[in-house]
Amino acid sequence: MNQAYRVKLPTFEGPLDLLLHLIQQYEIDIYDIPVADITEQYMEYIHAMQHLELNIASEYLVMASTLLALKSQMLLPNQEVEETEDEYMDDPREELVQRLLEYKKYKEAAQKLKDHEGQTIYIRPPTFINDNMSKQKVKKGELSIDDMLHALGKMLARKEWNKPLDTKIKRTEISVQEQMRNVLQIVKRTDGGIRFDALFDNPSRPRIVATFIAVLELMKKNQVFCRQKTHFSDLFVYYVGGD
Amino acid sequence: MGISHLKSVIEGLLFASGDQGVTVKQLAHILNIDKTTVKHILDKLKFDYENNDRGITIIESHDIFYLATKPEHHHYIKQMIDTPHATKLSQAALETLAIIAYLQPITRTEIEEIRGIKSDRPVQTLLSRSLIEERGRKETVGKPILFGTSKDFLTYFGLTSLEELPPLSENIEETDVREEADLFFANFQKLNNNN
Repeated sequence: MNQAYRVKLPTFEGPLDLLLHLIQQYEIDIYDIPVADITEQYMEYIHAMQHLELNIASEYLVMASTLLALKSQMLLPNQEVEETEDEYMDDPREELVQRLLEYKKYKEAAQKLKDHEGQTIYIRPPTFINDNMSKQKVKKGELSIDDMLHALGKMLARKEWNKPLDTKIKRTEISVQEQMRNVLQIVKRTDGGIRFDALFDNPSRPRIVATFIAVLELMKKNQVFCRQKTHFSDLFVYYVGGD
Repeated sequence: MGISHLKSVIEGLLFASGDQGVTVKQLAHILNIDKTTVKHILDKLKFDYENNDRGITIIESHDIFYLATKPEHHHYIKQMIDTPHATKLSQAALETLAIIAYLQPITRTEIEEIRGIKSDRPVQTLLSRSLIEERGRKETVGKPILFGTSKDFLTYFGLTSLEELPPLSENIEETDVREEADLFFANFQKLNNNN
């Protein structure tokens, strides 16, 4: 590219912005746009942009064709217009003018907004605990082992609560035969007899009963014998031996 | 409960709710009074805050009320909080935002019709900066997303409600053209003087 030829193009926010710029630059009445002139100016910009190898958004080209269409429409001799039709609405430029005005309105509003930019209002976070707060990191020393144990206790309590209200109780069968074998083994192992109470290490009722019957049975079979030194003293069970 | 007592409770509730805000309906429910009374009390509070010796104000975004600092104090507050310098919005984003602010709820296509150019990128920028948010979908073909401004939009531009948006210049015809002519003339004279 020629070094001497430098164009500083302002940036445009689309074809409407470019058109508005041209209208302002050439002091054109927006309600009476000289289509031929503006089209020429517009095309010049498009060519300059092409020359600078800028990517031209397709919208710019659509607008270019719209302008060219308008230009040719304006060149055509005025056809006989029916009297009833609104003269104002017949202007082929009308639609474009409306779009330009609409765009201009918001472009100005954007400028007003820009003046307000940075006049920030501040709102503090709420005082109550919400999800955001629980996601915060735990600081060092914020929690102790007690808190954890407490949490565990709570969890266990909850587990207790979650237990089904209806439970099936399974009867555990303890056979006297088996208990007899157990008692015999314990008695065999201890020389000099074992205290009767010591046989009942398991506090469940069926087992106590089974153990008691087992002892009676063993006595009947003469495999063990019991001895009580005085009234109300401890009862001792001895192994009879024999084998 | 007397009105002044109710007012103090509402003030406390607004304070506690912070940036979650509170609706008239919620306040009416908590205080067991009707919504008209709540609105009346909110107006009263707002009026109180307008006084120069108060540093807070009430802002309203989509029927949710928040207790906030006054926009005119932004300069002082900024000095205290030392926020990273936020990048200002681009012209494209500003234009898009202006269109959304005045015409919400609006679809992206409708924005593009006014701007005359594709606007998906500015819309994305505004969404990521949470200045706008989705406000449902339009009941037309394709059910396009409708966009509206958020609470952050109000706080970013120091507005206490959407009603505070500067009015759109509807009748720009004469005044505007004359203004532009004046501006041109002023510039022209300046140029002449410089020469």
